[in-house]
Amino acid sequence: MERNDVPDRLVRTIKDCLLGIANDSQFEELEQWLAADKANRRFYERMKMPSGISESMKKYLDFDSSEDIRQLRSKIRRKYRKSIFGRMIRYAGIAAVIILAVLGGRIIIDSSDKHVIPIIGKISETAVLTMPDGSMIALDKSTENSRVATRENVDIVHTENSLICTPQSDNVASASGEISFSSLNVPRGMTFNITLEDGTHVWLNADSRLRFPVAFGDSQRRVILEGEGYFEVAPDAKRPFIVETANQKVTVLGTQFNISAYPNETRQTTTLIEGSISLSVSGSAEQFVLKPGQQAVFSCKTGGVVVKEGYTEEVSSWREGIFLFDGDTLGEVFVKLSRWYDFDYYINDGLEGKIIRGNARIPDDVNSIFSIIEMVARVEITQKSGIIHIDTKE
Amino acid sequence: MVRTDHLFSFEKLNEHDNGAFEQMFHCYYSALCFYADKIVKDNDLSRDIVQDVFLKFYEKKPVFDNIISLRTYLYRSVFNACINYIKKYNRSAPDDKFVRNVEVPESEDNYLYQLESRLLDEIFLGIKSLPDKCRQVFELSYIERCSIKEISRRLNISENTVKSQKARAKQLLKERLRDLYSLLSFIFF
Repeated sequence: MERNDVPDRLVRTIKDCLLGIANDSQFEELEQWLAADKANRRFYERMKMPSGISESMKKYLDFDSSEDIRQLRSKIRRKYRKSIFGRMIRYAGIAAVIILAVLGGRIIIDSSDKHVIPIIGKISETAVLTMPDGSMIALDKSTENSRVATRENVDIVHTENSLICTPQSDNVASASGEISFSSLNVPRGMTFNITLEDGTHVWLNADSRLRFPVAFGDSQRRVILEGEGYFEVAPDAKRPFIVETANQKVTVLGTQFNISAYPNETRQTTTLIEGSISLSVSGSAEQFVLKPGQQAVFSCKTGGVVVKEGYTEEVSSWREGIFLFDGDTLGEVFVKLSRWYDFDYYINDGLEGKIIRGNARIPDDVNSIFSIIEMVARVEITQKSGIIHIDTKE
Repeated sequence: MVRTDHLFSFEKLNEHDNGAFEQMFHCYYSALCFYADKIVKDNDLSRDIVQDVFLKFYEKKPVFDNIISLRTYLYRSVFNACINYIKKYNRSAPDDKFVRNVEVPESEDNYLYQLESRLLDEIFLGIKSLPDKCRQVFELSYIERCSIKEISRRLNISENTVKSQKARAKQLLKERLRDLYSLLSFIFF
């Protein structure tokens, strides 16, 4: 007799009988089952013996899924590396990760006590708009889809994760006298974008600030950035657009580019996507003119600028919620990650400078990113007393 | 650690969600390895066989109507992989088979192997259904063999609390597992 699947009901009945919690009808069912076949009876007799059941339970406990999931993950990783290697050696590592990420993958880090990483919540702070008079407006749900301020004949409207500055008439720029700056502060854990009075669109990455005049003057359009921003500058030949960071000044006419100038990073990068920009370093007259696809890297240590080739819109993939760590060090990746998810971390000796490549969609839950990093960097990420530890994989 | 409590979303698994895939792995792994071991009688080989089944699953991404067809698929895949191994093994080293006593099981035996694997899942579910703190203490203490001090440190609770949770776990298990409890006492207690 072919007996392939074991019905749930039978399993439960036998369990309840073994545990001594069965009712009469279950015992009856058991009796019928035992009578049906000698092998069944032998089986049950064995399970009822202390040696029988305890042997089985010990055996069962030998197979620990929370340990062995690592082996499975590395098998999957190896397999994908291998199959793609032939065609795209260079991108093999990334590809494996992309496949995992694109599948909508949440790779859940196993939750045995040693490895429990509680889901680190996105920070609940909201972006804040500070007006020149010092008044602060929290851009939360309560102000969504409403006008939050009007100044110099410009309406400022808050829609979901963005601010739009709309002139009430065409002649805002005529506002004379001194220019006063407002400030948009984007906390960790979110991005925000703003359309300035001239139509220039700026995406701000997590933990960034943009100071801007609600109405630009007649001669120039000047904003001050701390953190990372992607700019799509509206063309206006009469008024050059200037982005200042702590150490650099970027002058543009109409173009698209990305600036990353976080105070806690050792380098600041400016990447030109379209158009033309010129960049200068404070205290120096030298001008660096960038062509599309070029990236200027300013080293905070040496104060020097190096221009590199071959950059594309990928530098601003953060706008789409994609984490790209293409050749970044583990240290740099964790600086970025902790900007999105509020956590303290400790990178074990020697791992800080490890270069990793990969990308991940920014999910609700940082654990997925951790497990991608665990795979590409071959490290182990655990939590000990509230701190994320990054260690060499044993 | 015992992992029978991992539930996974069947819908998400069908949508090829990696999280659901891994949770399914946690759900079935121990029992499937136990089952494979019944056939090939080797712990490490069983692990390999079962992991390869999951690897194939990951690649092929089969879709199922219900949990029973999923389970049937998994057990059948493991069974086939075991049989392939045994056939290959017996071809390459025909004289060894009596030493290791690996043979293609009778369908009768196969049925009971499956039954036993599933039974163990059910029994460990009883342990898993202990209240959270209680279960953690129980697992750390009886399965991971941690000292009271170590448990107190890891769970950030006082040593006295560890002691009282241990007693509570024993009591609850005594009620829930009744007859089995006395059989198990020399594994766990």
